[in-house]
Order: sequence, then C-alpha cells, then structure tokens
Amino acid sequence: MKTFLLNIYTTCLVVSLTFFLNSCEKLIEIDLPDNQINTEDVFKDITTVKAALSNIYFNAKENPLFRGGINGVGCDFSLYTDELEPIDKNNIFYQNALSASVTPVKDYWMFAYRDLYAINAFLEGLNKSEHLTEQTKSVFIGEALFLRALYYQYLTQLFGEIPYIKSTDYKTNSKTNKLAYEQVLLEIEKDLKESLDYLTYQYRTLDRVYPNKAVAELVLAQNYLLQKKYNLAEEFAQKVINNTQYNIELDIKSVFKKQAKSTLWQFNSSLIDNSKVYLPTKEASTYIIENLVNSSLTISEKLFHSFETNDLRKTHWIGEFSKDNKIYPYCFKYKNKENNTDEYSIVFRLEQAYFTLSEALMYQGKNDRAIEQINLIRSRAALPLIGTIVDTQELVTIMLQESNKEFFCEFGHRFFDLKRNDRLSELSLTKPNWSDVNILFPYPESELLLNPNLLPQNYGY
Amino acid sequence: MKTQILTTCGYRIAMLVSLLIGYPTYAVSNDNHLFFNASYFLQDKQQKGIIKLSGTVKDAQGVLGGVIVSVGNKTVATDLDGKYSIDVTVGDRITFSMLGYKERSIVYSSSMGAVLNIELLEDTTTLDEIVVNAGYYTVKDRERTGSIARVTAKDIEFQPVVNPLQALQGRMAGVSITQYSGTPGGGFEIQIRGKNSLSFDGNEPLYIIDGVPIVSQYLNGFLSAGILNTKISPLNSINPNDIESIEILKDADATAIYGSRGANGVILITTKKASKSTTQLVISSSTSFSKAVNQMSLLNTEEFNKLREEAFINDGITDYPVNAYDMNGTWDKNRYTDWQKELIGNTAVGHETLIGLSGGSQTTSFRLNTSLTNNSTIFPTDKGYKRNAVSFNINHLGLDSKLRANIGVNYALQKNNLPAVDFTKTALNLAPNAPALYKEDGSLNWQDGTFANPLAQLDKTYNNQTKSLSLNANFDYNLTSEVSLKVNLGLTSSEFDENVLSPHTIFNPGLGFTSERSRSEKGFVNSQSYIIEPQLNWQKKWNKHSLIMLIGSTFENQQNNSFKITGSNFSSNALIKNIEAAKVKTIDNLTNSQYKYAAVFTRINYNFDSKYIVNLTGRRDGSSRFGYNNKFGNFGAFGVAWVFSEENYLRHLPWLNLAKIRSSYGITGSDNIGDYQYLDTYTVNKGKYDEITGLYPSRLLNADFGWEKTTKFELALDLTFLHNKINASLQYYNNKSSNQLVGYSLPWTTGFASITSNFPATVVNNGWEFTLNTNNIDSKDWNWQTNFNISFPKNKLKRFKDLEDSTYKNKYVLGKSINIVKLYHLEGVNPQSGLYEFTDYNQDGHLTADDKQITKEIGITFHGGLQNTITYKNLSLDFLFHFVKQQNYNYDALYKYIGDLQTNLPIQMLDRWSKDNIHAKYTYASSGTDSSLMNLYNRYIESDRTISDASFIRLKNVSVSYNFNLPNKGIDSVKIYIQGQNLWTHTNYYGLDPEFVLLGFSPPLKTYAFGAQITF
Repeated sequence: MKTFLLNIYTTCLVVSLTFFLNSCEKLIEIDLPDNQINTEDVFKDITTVKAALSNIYFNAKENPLFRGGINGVGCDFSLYTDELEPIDKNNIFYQNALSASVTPVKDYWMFAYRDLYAINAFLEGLNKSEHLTEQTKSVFIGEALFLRALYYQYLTQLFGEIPYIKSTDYKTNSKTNKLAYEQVLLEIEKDLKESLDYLTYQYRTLDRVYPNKAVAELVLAQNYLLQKKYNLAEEFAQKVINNTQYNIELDIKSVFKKQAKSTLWQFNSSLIDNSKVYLPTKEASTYIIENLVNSSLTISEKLFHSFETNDLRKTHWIGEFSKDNKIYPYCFKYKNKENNTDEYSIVFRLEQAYFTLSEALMYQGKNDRAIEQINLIRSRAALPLIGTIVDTQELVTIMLQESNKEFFCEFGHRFFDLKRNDRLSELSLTKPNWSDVNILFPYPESELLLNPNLLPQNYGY
Repeated sequence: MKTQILTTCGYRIAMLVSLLIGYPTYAVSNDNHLFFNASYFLQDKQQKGIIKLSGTVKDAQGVLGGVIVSVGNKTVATDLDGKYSIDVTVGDRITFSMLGYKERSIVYSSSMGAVLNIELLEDTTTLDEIVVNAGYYTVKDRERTGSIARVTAKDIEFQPVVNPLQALQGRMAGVSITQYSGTPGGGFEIQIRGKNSLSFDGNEPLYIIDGVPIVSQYLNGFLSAGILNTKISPLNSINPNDIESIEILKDADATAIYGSRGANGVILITTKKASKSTTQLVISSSTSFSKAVNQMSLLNTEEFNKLREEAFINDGITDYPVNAYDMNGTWDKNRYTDWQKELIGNTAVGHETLIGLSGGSQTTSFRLNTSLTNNSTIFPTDKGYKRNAVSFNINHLGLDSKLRANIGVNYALQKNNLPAVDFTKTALNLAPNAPALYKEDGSLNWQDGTFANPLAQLDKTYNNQTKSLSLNANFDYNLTSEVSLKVNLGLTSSEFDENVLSPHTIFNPGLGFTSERSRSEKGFVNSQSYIIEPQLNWQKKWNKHSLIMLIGSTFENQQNNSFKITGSNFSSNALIKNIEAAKVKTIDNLTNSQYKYAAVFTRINYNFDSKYIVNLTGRRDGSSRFGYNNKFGNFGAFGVAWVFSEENYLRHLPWLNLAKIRSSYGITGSDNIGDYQYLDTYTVNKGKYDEITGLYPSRLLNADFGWEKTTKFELALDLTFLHNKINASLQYYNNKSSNQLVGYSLPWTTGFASITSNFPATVVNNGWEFTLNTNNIDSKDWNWQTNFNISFPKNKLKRFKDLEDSTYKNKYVLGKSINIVKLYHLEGVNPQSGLYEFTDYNQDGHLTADDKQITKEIGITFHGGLQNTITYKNLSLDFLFHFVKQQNYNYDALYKYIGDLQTNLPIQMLDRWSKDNIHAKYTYASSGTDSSLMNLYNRYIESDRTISDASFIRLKNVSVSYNFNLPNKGIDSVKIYIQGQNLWTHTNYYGLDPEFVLLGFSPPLKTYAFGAQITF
C-alpha cells in the first residue's frame, strides 16, 4: 500500500516537473516593443514602406556627402580647395592634412555605408514583398536605386576604388574587396539606367523634395563625364535641359528659393511646430557671419577677387561682414538664418545640366556650343558674353572659373570639377600644403584593420 | 494576458512545491522508510529518567533569543525572552550555541534540578560560527566550499561616501573598483577577477539586495554623459549605513546557482535587519569637506607666452591672425589665473543625518532608518547631490516559531543638480592668461566675444531625479524539523527622470543667438520588476553525516519604458523648463521593453563529520533575450572541501584551529546583451523627412546567438592558527570564458559597427589571491587587528577560431591579454628637424596602421589593501591603504599642439624641441598651421608614449572614533568620529590622477568628515 502511494507520488512529481519545465517556454515569452515593427510587416503596407524610405532621405540630408553646412561636403571641400578661409586655421581640411585615423574621414565612409545598408535592405524587402503591386513598388524601387548610385558616385570620387555593396549579407560584406574605379562607374551607370525604368518625370510632391527621372538623367550625364563618354553625357544633359518643367531663374535672387523653377531636387526643411516657418537651412546657419568667431568661414581672397565687376552673383550671393576696417566676405546664397519661410537646401539645379553639357561638348570639340551654354549662365549674372575660343584647354580653364563662381560652397563642385578635368594640381598655387596625396581620401584606418581585403591604403597615407 | 500567464505559472509553481513538500513529509512520518529515517534507527530510544529542563539564556546585555540548545539529536531554540525547555537525562551533554558567542557545554547531573540558567560570552573571533550569506542559502564559513568575500557594517558605516561600492575599494581580494568620476551620484567600474568580457557593459556583476536582483543597465540615462560619464550606479539608492554585510561570490561553487547571470560574480547586499526587542533610537550626523585629490602642474603665463611666441616664429607668421587674441593685443597677455583652482578647486561639502528607531515585542520586531544626505561638488556651483532614503524592516516569528517572516521596504529619492559638463578638461586646457571670468559689474566676461567663458556652461544644467522603491519579503516556514519552505518575493520600481537645460546664454553673445537657440531636453526611464522564488530546503543529520538539499525556482519579469524629448526655439528663456513652450519639439526616443527570466535551481550539500564536504549546485535558465532555439541553458558546479585539521593526526595540535583545502569547478553564464537582439525589425526614428516619420533597420540579424559560458576553477587553502589569531587564505583561480556574447566588430561596409554574436574565442582569467587577517593584540584594553589582501589577476586570449581571417586580426594577439593596445613606437624627436619619429615596421616609407606593432597592456598587475584597526578601550583607529600596480593612458593621450592658444600644457612639455634644445622629449611649438606636424600629432596620441605606469598607493580611509558609554544619563552611548578619505597618495603617474576609467573627468576627492552618533 505504501509502495503504491509512493509510486503515485513519484509519478505526480515527475509529471508536474515536466509540465512545469515545458511551460517555461510560455513563461519567458515577451511582446515586441511598441517602437519596433517586424521587417516582414514593414513591406506589407505602403505607409510603412514610405516611412522606411523617408528615413533614408532623412539620413541622406544629414550625411556628410550631402549635408549643406558644416561637416558636409560643401563646406569641407570649399576649405579643402580654395574657396573658404576659416578664422581658426587649425582645420584639417583647410590644411589638407587628412589622415586615416581622423573622425571626418571615418564619417564620410561610415555614414555612407550605413545608409547604403538601409537602401539595400529597402530594395530587398520591397522586391520580396508580395503584398504590393509592381506598379506601387515602381517609384520607390527607382528612388532607392538612384540613391544607391548617387552615394557611390560621390564615394568613388573621394576614395577611388571602393566596394560596391548591393546586398545585406554581413558575412560577405565584412570581407568585401574593392572594385576598380572604372568598374564602380559602370556599376553606377547600371543602377542609374535601371532607375530610369522605374522613375517618371512627375514629382511625388509639388516641392520637388524627392528625385525624379530628370535628376537620375543628370547624375547619369555626370557619370558619363567621369567615364569620358562625352556623347552620352551630352545626350542626357540635353534631355534635362529640354525638359519643360525646368527654367533658369532669370532673377538671380530666386535661385535659392524653394519655388525656383531651376531646382531639380532639394532637401526639405523641417517645419517649426505649429507654424509656417521652417528651420533654417544648414547653409544659412553655417556661412552667414554676424560676428567673427573661431568657427567663422570667409570667402577666400582668390575667389572674392575672381569675380568680374558687376557680377550679380558677387552682389547677391556674397555677403560682407566688416570689423576693424577689414571686410570679411561670406557665402550668402541662402539668406534665412532665422524666420525661414522660403528656403530648402538645393541638391541639384538646372545650371549643373548646362555645365555638364558644356563640358561634354568641349571635349568633343564642339567649342561653340559649349561656349553657348556658359554664356547663358554669364548673361544671367549680367556679364558680357565670351567670344570664340579654339583651344580646348583654354576653354576648360574658363569653364572651371565660371563653374567656381556659380557653384562655390555647393556640394564640393570645385573639387570634383578640378579632379574630373585633371586640374587639381592648380591648387598648389594657393594652398601651400597641397600635394598629389590629396587627390584621394585615405581609407579609414579602422576599416583596413577590420577588413584587410580593403588594403592597400591610398597613395601617401 | 500577462496576468493570466502569471497566475497559471504561479499555480504550477505552487503545485510543484506542494508535491515536493508533501513527499518528504510523507516519508518522514513513516517510521519504516529507509532513507529519510535513518536517524530513527540510530536514535537511542531510552525513555528512562527524562527530566524537563528549562531556563533562561543571557549575555552581558540581557536575555538572548535564538540560542540553539542541543542535547544529542534534539535541538530547540530559546524564544525572544531567552527561555528554553528540553528533555534531558543524567549524563547528557547540553550545548548552548549562537553565532557570535562562545559555545558552552554542560554535562547534566541530577544535582542541577529542572532549571538551568546560562550566560554566554560574546566571541568576536570565532571563525567557526561566522555564517556567510551565499544567496539562496547560508553556509558556515568553516564549512564553505566556495569563494566568498565578505565585508560587514563595521567597515562600511560612517564612511563619507555616497555609494557603498566606494567603501569597498581595496578591501576585498579579487575585486577591483574604480570610480567613473569624482562627482557624487555617478557610477563605478567593477571587475571581479578580471575582465571576462570584451564588451563595455559585459563585465557588470549581478547585484542582489535582500534577495531581489536589481536592474542595473537601465539607469544609464540619455543625458548624463557630459557630467557623470553616462553610468549611474544603481547602488546609489542605498545608504551605506543601512548595509549589514556585502558578500561577493566569486567562484563557480558560489555563483553557479545564479546560472546564466553569475559569470561576472554576484554581489549580495544584506541590509540591516530588526533584531532587538528593546526600543532603541539612534541619531547620527556628519559633515564632510572634500577637494580634488590632486592638481596638475601646468604652465604659468610667462612660460605659456614664451611658447606662443616661439610657435609663431616657428610657423614664420609675423602678422598675427585675428584669433590670436593674446598676441594681437585683444587680451591682456600677462594675466594669470589658476584655472584648476577656479574651476575644480571648490570645496565640496557633504552633510548626512540619520535617524533610526528599532524595537518590538517577543515575536515581532522592526527597524526604521531614515537618512538625509547632501553633497556638493568641486565645481564653482553650490548645487549637488541629495538623497533622502527610508528603510523599514519587520521581522516576525509566528506559528509556534515555525514561521519566520521578514519584510523590508527601501525607498530612496535622489536628486542631482549639476552643471551639464565636467569642468576638469577645461580647467586643464584653458590658457593661463585667458581673460577674467567676470566683468567689474559682475556679469560674465566674454571679452567682446573672443573668450569662450567656461562659466557660461554653468547655465547649462543637468538635473536628475530617481525614485526607487524596493519591496522584499522572505517567508521561511519549518514544515518539520528537517524540511522548510521558503518564499522570496520582490518588487522594484524605479523612476528616473533627467533634464538638460541649455539656454542660449551659454553661447558667445557674438554669435547673436537669442532664446530661439535655447534647448531643453528631458528623459524618463521607468522600470518595474518583480521576482518570485519559492524554495524548498531539506536537511538531515545522522551520526557524522549531514545532508542538505535545496530546490527552488525563479520567475522574474522586468519592464522598462523610456522616453526622451527635446524642445528648442523658445520665445523666452523663462519658459525653458516647459518643453510645451518650445517651438520645435522632437521625441527622440519612446521605447518599452520587456525581459523575462525563469529558472529552476538546486543545491545538494553533503558533509561528513565537518571534515569532508561536497557541494553540488545546478541551474536551468530560460531567458527572453535569446532566439527560439537558444532560450534555455544549463549551468552547474561541483565543490569540495577537506578540513584536514579535523583529521585525528592534526586534531590535537593546539596552535592549529583550521586547515582546509577546497576546490570547485563549474559553469556559469551571461545574458547581458540587452533585449530583443535576435529580432529582425525596423525601429521608429525621431527624424522626419517631408513630415513623414522614419523607420530604420534595427540591427544586423543574428537570430542564433546562444548562451555565453564561463567555466571557473578554483583551488584554495584556508588556515587559522594560534587561537584564531591568524587567518590566512590562498586562492588560485582559472576562469575560461568562451562563446562570449559581444557586439562582434564589423567593418562599416556591412552597414553596422557590430553584430550581436557569440565570440569565437576563449579568454582565460587566472590569478592568485591572498588574504591574511591577524589579531595582533587582544587584551582587555588593547586590540589590534590587521587585514591584508593582494590579488594578481592575469588575462590571456587563449584561443580564437580563425583569428587571422577575422576582423580582430589586428586587435588581438593569441597568448596575450585582451586588454592590449597596438601602438606606434615613438623613437623620439629628430634632433635635426625637431619632428617626431616613429618606427616604420613594414619599411614601406609610410606610417600606416600596419606600423602599429608595439603592444602595451592596459590593466592591473596586482592590487590589494592593508587595513589596521587599533582600539584602546573606547578609542578606535582604523586605516586602510589601497595599492594598485597598473598601466594606463597618461596625459599625453589628451595632448594637443604645443603653442596653441586653446591649450595650456603640463610643465613636462616645456621640454620641446628648439635649436637650443635638440634632444627634446616633445616636438617644437606651432600655432597649428604646420601641416607636417598635424599628421604627426595624430600618430603621437596613438603611440606607446601615451601609456605608462599608473600605479599608486593611497591612504584610502582613516577613521578615528571614540565611544562614550553613558548608560545612566538616559543615553546609552555616544560615538564621535573623524574620517578621512584619500588623504595621501604616492604615484609616479603622469596626469591628474591614476584612478580613473576615462580621461577628462573629475578625479577622486580628498575628504575629511566629522560626525557623531547618539544611541538612546
């Protein structure tokens, strides 16, 4: 009897123990936090797809490659070349003293690949999704492909050979190899052409804050310039110019306004809550000098004096701060340091298409038509027109000067122009520390340490 | 839904427990069951001449409850009045024993009658009866198999510290504690037996206060980085004076019962409990004065000016630039200010008041303690840290003394009002001839916008407030004399909110900012947790055998909510505290998270004749932090001890009291990786584009990471000689961590810096620890005790799968410590050019990362403490030296240009290169326009010169106290004391202070405190 009881007891104990342990699974089940959504679910619904893409634009706007103000490509490369002079001369861009371990170099690399991961993940998620129609997906795929190409086009001009990452697999991406510069350009071309199939000329919103097909065409034209395929560059630049959505703003004061007809793509500024006022653009906050402090950036004497008399751009796009009988000129393209009601940060404007076209033409020996494009810009600045020039190199020099006056402090134009036309060595005239080493950025040291496949380091670093 | 799970779960636990309880009860109540009733066969059932003996047990102060009275196999305990009664026969040996008292044995003879009153003498030295808290169980120190270090109230109370961890520095072997910052209310880096984990947070031990684990990782706020180095210790919420003892569990035997959370050691904190039935009122108060422990010798104005002039000459600049304010006449270049005195030279004042009341009846007693603590800082502000804490504790003995209940509540309200940034860096960097802080009219001086006045930063304030409540209840019910049921329940709730206010006045007025630039940030972190731990104990003694078994389970649930909002652009600074008034508002973070944890654990302890002891512990854990295939893990340990002094051949040596060899081996783990890491999700971002809120990919996905495991081995020898006058312990440990959970470093080409993953490496931490406690003098009036401890930790990367092919190829070296840093080797300054020269190891003509071939280890070679306590009658002197032999970063790691206006320098840097000083230690001065120097500076701060000896010996604590006994004045006693902290330091360290975690934060403080305690 007792043994029987004991057996029952033991059985009960064993049963309940197993029961208890099995239910432990349930015991430690938890809910998803409110601010996270399963990846699969993100691509089921158009609203969350838009949100995922919105974050990519948000990051692009803050990314050093596209940021309008301080610590962005426009500002850093104006210092790196000969457009800006900082009050505090102890600036590694100004001194052309980059090294592989400094933060800004790492930032250019790291944030680009961070954003590229998000773009690749977005493309993977969207392509996999069976809940959205191909038609709905189209424009988003097009924008993502365009953005990927755009990032790489900047990256490769900075670093030269780079890995062209198109997947999200960390195992392969952590051991990735670099692709030759020409290969990278071809990959970019491929992505851009593909994006043209998905994009339309129609903007998603009225204020042109998302890129459309015309923007992709312009970037493709620039890609062809880099590849020296000038006829194709001409073709695509011409397409942009021919597009009736865009006109050169004849009033020079309207060029950097939100409603400008010359704008192809601009970054949206955030609205200040409960008002119609936007936060100031980064350009306005960075460049406008109201008092001389260490962080003030002035227009270099060389650039300041390169303007011809009566150049409207000098009158309207350069401001002057004076102290102790000395004049400190500054970049004044964006005016609203406060109370911003009408300025966004413009990434691409029609003038770039004219310069791209002009460059493509001159390298094909079509000098007259090339001059035509430049003159169009000159006339808007109320300058006399240029006559015939036969020598291509001479024409290139003039084009570079005109480009400098038009695009100073914008998105590193000066650096990329000089580089594309093999004229960077000119900088050594005004920049004592300039050397061939400065043509490329160093790869961040930490990246080389983590992935030796990225070796060798760029020349000189 | 959740409550339902809990209810069913609770129900199941109850069922299981009741079965477990029922089983042995059933067995015991049946005479013939063979195992559990072995004692029945062995028991002498003689029934003749039984006498019911009763009496009272007292000590010098009064009656003693809880004294164990034993006769043969029978034991009873005295009640709260000290009364007992037990059956005896003539010739029986009656033993009276109690922790902290000398045991007394009496052979009963018929002449004694039926009443036997006994007085026990206090015994402060008996090791035998020191009972150590091991968490789920307690163990006699003499019989323990594990490695447990212990510090009691005696060493902690009255110390002028905010956080109890601070009071432990230098007192325990194998435990290294470093303060993140000297600012009160901050945190500590604590390493128990070295660094197991590579991740920053991965070395945190498990903290358990009165049985309730506390949530440590959530107290890291959003905004405290600038002033408190981010980490805020969760132990700030306990007043050190409320602590009875702190036990640190180190080896596998002690920690395996905590399974997956024991890998980094366990810190058990036991608060003071109600014990006395007489009413006692204790009031104490103290005041302390503190200063930064050290100052650096920096350049004076003359030296600084000389360097500046030299810098411009070297750069070939004669036309001084607009921002060379000292040279171009904007500033008075001959001013001198000792900025260390101005900015970090304030005397921090602290006050503490404690009021405690305890009392009770025979069965119920209570203890209430309240404390008010205030501490200011060394910065030029009178604000600081405040803590109001209440702890309440009730003890109840009921149901024929079978039920013991202990219920405790701790509540603390902490407020910290600080400047948002630490001024230490500024104090070291600011030029000695920088302008005055104030204008003559008392307003801040910006020197026409040329001087970034550091005091403007005082307007930027950091405030936090923590409300922490912890409730714990322990019920212990003796079902039979052998079986007891324990339930431990805990509930914690903490509300942490903080804000940083940055009015536009912190900016140079030259920038023309208005309150539109003012910002206000606010963060909240709320966390709640509860824990339920039923536990069943069974113990049996027969002849020389003793067997203890324990089985229990844990269920824990933690919930966190956090929220951060930023407001900017205010119409007036008067509104800055109210974020609603901001024109731009951003929600930076709005998160909730959940963590659940369930486990069953067991312990089996067998003891033969107090000579051979075997201890087995085991635990099966489930944690919500792992993916579906890896939620559960098993942990366990095996410990043995051989008390060879109990062997017959040693037993009668009068000078040897205890000789014990113990050893243990086992596996513990860690799940310290944060929640939800295995999920593939997108997270909501604060940023909007085109007014659409963003979603970003949360992380690189690795759903398959599993438990981290650390195997620990220990071998130790414990000896006690000469009537317990000398206690020595020598311990060797060898811990191997493998499969560590880390953020595995990845190149950015993967889109992320790391992925949560198991680290394919084995890291070995081994070392020796030695402790020696001696009772040098023990006479009626004089008493002198010495405690010494020293530890030699060693760290080694033993194995790394495919190291050459991994992203860690350039970081680690097999066979070396994981704390190594690879650096450039600085050969010196070239006597001709004055430039730094580094070794070009790969001889490619360039200095690249490949040339970082010199390895230096950052870490401790040995550390320890020497404490002496001398008492003469009622006067007591106690002092503790703390010593550390280590290497760490020195001031050169913060080094900037020689000759820059922004940077003052240590006097060592006067040894710079010039034509007259070609064999210099440092390069030549430059105003920052020499680009060849720029690159070399960057390499210099990554060279082997930046790491050097940071060893020190420090008089950590001194205390002198005097106790007046005034029993007839209505006051029991008055104790007055003086305490000193960090009064003296010996070091060759080059920098502000060798005791730091990250450079640039406020150093430890030198403190003098005075106080008195009155007991009624």
